[in-house]
Amino acid sequence: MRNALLHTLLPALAALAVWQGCRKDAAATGPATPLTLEVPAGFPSPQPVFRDNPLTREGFELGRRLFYDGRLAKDGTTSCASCHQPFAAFATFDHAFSHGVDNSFTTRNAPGLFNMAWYPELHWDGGVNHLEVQPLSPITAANEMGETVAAVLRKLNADSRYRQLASAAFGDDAIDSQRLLKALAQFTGSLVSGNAKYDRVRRGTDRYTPAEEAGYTVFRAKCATCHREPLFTDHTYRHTGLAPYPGIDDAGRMRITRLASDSLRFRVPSLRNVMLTAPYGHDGRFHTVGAVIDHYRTGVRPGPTLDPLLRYGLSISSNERADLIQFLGTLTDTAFVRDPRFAEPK
Amino acid sequence: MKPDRMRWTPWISVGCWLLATLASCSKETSAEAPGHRLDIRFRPMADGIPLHYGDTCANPQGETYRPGMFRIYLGDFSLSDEAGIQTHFTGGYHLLDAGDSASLTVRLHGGARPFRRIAFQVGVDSARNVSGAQTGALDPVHGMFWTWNTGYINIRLEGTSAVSDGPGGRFEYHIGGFRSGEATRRTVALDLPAGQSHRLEVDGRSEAWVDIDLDRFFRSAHDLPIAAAARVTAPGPLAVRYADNAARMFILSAIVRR
Repeated sequence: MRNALLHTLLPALAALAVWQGCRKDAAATGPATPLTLEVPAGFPSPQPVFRDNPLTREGFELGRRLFYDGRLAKDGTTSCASCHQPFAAFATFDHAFSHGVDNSFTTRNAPGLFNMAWYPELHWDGGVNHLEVQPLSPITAANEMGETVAAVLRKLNADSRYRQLASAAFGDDAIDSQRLLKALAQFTGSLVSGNAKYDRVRRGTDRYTPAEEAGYTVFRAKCATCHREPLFTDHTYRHTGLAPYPGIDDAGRMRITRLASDSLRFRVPSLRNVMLTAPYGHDGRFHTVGAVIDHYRTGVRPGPTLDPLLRYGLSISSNERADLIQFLGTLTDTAFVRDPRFAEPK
Repeated sequence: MKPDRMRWTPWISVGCWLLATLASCSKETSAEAPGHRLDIRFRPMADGIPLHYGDTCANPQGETYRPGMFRIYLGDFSLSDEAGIQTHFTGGYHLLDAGDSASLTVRLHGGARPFRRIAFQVGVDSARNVSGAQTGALDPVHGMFWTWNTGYINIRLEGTSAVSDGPGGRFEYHIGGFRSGEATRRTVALDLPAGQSHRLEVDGRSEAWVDIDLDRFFRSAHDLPIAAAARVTAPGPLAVRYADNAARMFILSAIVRR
């Protein structure tokens, strides 16, 4: 019996050893390790962003390195992360407008990057209809990274490290625009924020303070129609009574749809991590959350496309304002912004 | 080199009839399939002569201009026989560039049935406009993609003209748009002269010569002088009118055997 076991087991082990050896040889071009997008409890189903772009550890890691690489820009130093800083929930800390190459200014406030796998459209005006093609806009915009896609690809293909990463992710070492974009989408689409105190309270593992609880009640009564839970946006575009800045005259959603009814409408931003993403508004005109609330209380300017919900502003008392700010603090996801998987690679 | 205009055997063998009867109404053929080769050779024309970047030419409105770039997406090629039975080709998209002669030939490996119509689409289908990063002819590196308002530019014509109000007399027609109401994709069907058809030989090669007449871009379905609009760089009603004109640019001038 024991002999029989040995006679079957040993060749099997030997075969396994040979097979493992082969696997090692093939490691450079072997199949990538599948990853699964984490969907926090209570979140709806994500968009099919990875349908034609299977999420893998190697694809994600390539995308992560690209996200932090200044060579995507003409000046060699302005990376995605220059304007989407991890500690600011991937927004630009303390800047109404981010800085592009050649001392240029963007014309809109850089939004935080998280939960984009749930977004049907991207940008303040919804002009981008798929996560994969979004980076083409900042890479080529003269006031952002100012580079051509062809030049980016030349730089990446000349770097043996990138060729190795591409080989591990996609099976061979050529980097074309599709691989560049799919790898970036694997990283950005994996930025999931669903572990704030708000989420823990929903899961029953934490409790609000009385002020946070009162603030949540105010939030649900006054804010939740547009900033719909659990993503804290309803993915619509609304005119919230902000007069356009002279010189920028940003028409918002109308630039995309060419409909007069979309004039001055902008995306409803998520309020997750809102305490980390100051300043606020599509043009970053508000420096504090309190200033945004005060705008809704007394600053809404009328206009033909003003959202009907804001026709009379929002009635929020000073006590409610204070409580609301306490509640908004529970949307900060510290684990997300400190997640080493999303940090700049060594 | 004189083309042998529309020369083919007028009769159809019993075997071909049998084949046609057995085949379904619509048939998919891979571009890789051997034999029965048809090269469609496109020739961009302006002002009656072949287009060359930098040449001075005049449009039908009498406006002189110098073309600097002309690119157009074609796809979804098919050949139809006398019974209307189509053979579709799955070769994906072709980006024609007047400045790149190699791009001006589209090679199809067709079936044995005589065809009397060549059809194709001008522009990229809506699904490819909303499905993320594409490759090959649809790679955004070709400069036929709007980054700020996702979508393909189906036709791109640029140049200079004294009648343009643009800086340096520049004009730019970036014709695209896929949403309902502003779609710019158009079907083009080129018929052989009435009563005629062409059969691809098993080991032969035929060429279809198709002119792309830029004059018709400026005036055919609509009258669109440069002076009236020197810039179209977004989808919308104006882009739709240029697309209507662009669908009328194609003229089948000859089919020859090689």
